Amino acid sequence: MVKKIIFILFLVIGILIRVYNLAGLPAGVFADEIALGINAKTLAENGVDEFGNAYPFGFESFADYKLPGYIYATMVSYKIFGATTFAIRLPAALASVFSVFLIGYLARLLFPERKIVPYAAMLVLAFSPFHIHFGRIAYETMLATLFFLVYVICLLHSIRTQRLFWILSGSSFLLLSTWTYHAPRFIIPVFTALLLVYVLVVKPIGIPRKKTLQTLAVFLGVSFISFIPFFFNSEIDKRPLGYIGQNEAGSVIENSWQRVRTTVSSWLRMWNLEFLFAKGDLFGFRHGTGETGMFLRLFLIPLVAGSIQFVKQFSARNFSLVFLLLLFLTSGLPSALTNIFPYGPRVLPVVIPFTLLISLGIDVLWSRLPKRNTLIRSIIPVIVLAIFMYQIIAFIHIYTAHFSHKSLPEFPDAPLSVAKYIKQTRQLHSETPIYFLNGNVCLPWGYDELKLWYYANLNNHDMISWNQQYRRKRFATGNPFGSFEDVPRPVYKIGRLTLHADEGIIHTAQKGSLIIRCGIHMPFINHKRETIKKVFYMYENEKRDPVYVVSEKK
Amino acid sequence: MRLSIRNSLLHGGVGIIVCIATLLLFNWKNAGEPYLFIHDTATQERLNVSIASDQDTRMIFITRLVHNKPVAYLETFFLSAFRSLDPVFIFSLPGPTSMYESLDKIPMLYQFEFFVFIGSLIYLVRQWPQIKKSFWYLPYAFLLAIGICGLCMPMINTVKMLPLLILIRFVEVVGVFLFIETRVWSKK
Repeated sequence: MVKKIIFILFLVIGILIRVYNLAGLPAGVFADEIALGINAKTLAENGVDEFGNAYPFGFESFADYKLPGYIYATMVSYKIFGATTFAIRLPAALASVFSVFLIGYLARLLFPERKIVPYAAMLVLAFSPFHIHFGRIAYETMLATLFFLVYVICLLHSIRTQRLFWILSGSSFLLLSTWTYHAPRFIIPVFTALLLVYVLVVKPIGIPRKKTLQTLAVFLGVSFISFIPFFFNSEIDKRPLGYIGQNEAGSVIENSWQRVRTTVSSWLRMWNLEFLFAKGDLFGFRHGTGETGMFLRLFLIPLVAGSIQFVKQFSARNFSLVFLLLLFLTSGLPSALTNIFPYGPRVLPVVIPFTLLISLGIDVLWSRLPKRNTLIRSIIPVIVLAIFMYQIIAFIHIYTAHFSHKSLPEFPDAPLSVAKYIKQTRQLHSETPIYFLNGNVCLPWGYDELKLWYYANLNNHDMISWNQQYRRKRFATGNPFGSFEDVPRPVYKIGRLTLHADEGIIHTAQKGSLIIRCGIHMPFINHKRETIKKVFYMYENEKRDPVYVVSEKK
Repeated sequence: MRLSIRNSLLHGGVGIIVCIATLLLFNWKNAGEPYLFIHDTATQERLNVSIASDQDTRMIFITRLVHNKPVAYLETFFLSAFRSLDPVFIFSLPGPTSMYESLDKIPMLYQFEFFVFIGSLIYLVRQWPQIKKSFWYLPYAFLLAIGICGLCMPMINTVKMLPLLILIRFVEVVGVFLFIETRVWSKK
């Protein structure tokens, strides 16, 4: 009973960490999050994307095309919660919470004779800093990984029962996963094909071979069907495929050999203990805190124990272990093929096999506790529990105290506050002209007009029209996705609000007009002509690093 | 001596304590100063900032619980040990030397040895019940080698890794030898 209470208590804490202050931690939204939000908003209100295309499959964005899964899910949460950060992040948070329960179920299906493994798997994933982080920000990868997890569960059920329900469910989640993020589009067909070859070559114990082959062939067929929309929207794949072939200057054989070696090397870096237990992906704060790894450090010992157990028990006819091995091989490949280091969102599916291996290790260590010596049997769990709690507290501290502060340049709060200020001013003083002088973005990867569009609830038709103008200008350069910083954003009037107005507007603006500039221009404001009304800082509590300045024309 | 998890931990722990004590003896005048141990800039910055600025916050208890010298020492130990166990670095595989440091390429072992080592390790683990009487010291030796790596600076260097590299080569030789002995010679 005590064990059950402790388990449920920890599980609740793991879920609370995922949903606590979801909209405010990280404080602001980064470019990809707002792009997802804008498309969800236009879809929910007008049935079109940010460029006016009706219910598209691929959503054109800054430098790529986004897949539809997350955007359509956000459309639902937008309809319920409106233009909030919470609405954008909710699908990822829910996916993260559901994954915790489903990993336990998957562990039970794979290792039915090991009673502790499912509970251990749930706890390991519930407190995975990497998994928690990707559940708190809007990234398609979390939702896609959930769908992949459900697909794997349905696949196992289909193999064992051959019921049509599981095959149909598995096919649906396969499609959902591949249409939500790019990584599963590679993982699922390769994983299913390898499993099919394995069952074809080896006769696994306890698996009906003929029916399993039929089931796997069906899923492989469905995974090929999932590619059909991409044939009609080939532009979606330009960027993902471009990553695979970059930096290759030798002959085809040299390049291929180099590619194989680099891929193996990058895949092995997944096993770098500093990545797994200390620092994670340092690409940016959108990929992690930089102070926590994929798992809590306590799980290092179970990982070693699980790996030893895996090697000891492995046999080609042991279906569960081969299944786990293939999961490891394939789920790390999208990152390994495209980056020299494990790349946060693409490597997220790897948490599934790692969690299973660690839980296997926990089960082994638990069974090794001396049964007769009650003193050791009671002292060791208490010590482990104390270390576990300490590491959870340390992680919460790092996330709420360090990360919330350090991540502000990447997740700035100021553009959201400016948008809300503009919204409020337009409601209260509808006659006041507002000039948004954000000619060049105030922050790198800011795209603050999109934040204004979402949080100030600007009219969709107006903003789509502005967006199309800007898009035409970018496409005219011949480098549409590389010219965001170079092509000036078009000036556009929405009622009394002027977007991207020129600095010269100060001379012609009427008295009482509000002028909103980047904070870097604050020292150059002529105080004889304007009065500073409000400053939005990057670090609001310290009044440091102004991001936006609002001044009033005298 | 019987090999068990308890014995491994006990002996490994004793080894680590002896190593720490030895190092402290050499630097006894300022053994408690963090800069001697904490060479990882992120850990050092976190400790300095927390000691300097967190004292007036309401979360001081948690801050002190998470940021203190013993924890920082332990963290540096783990970082140093983890960094030394990167297979890409040890076997000179393609890609940058370190994921977290900007370093020139440091060739350590040959690339082909990676496969020999993994094969040997798998073979030894699977055959452990039969060979543990002869090779009981291997787990302790690994723990000690990792402990030595952990007690040195986190920055990757070849000197601190010498015991580990010797052990890896030893495992390769033993694994290959045993494999040939049991699978090839015994059939003759």
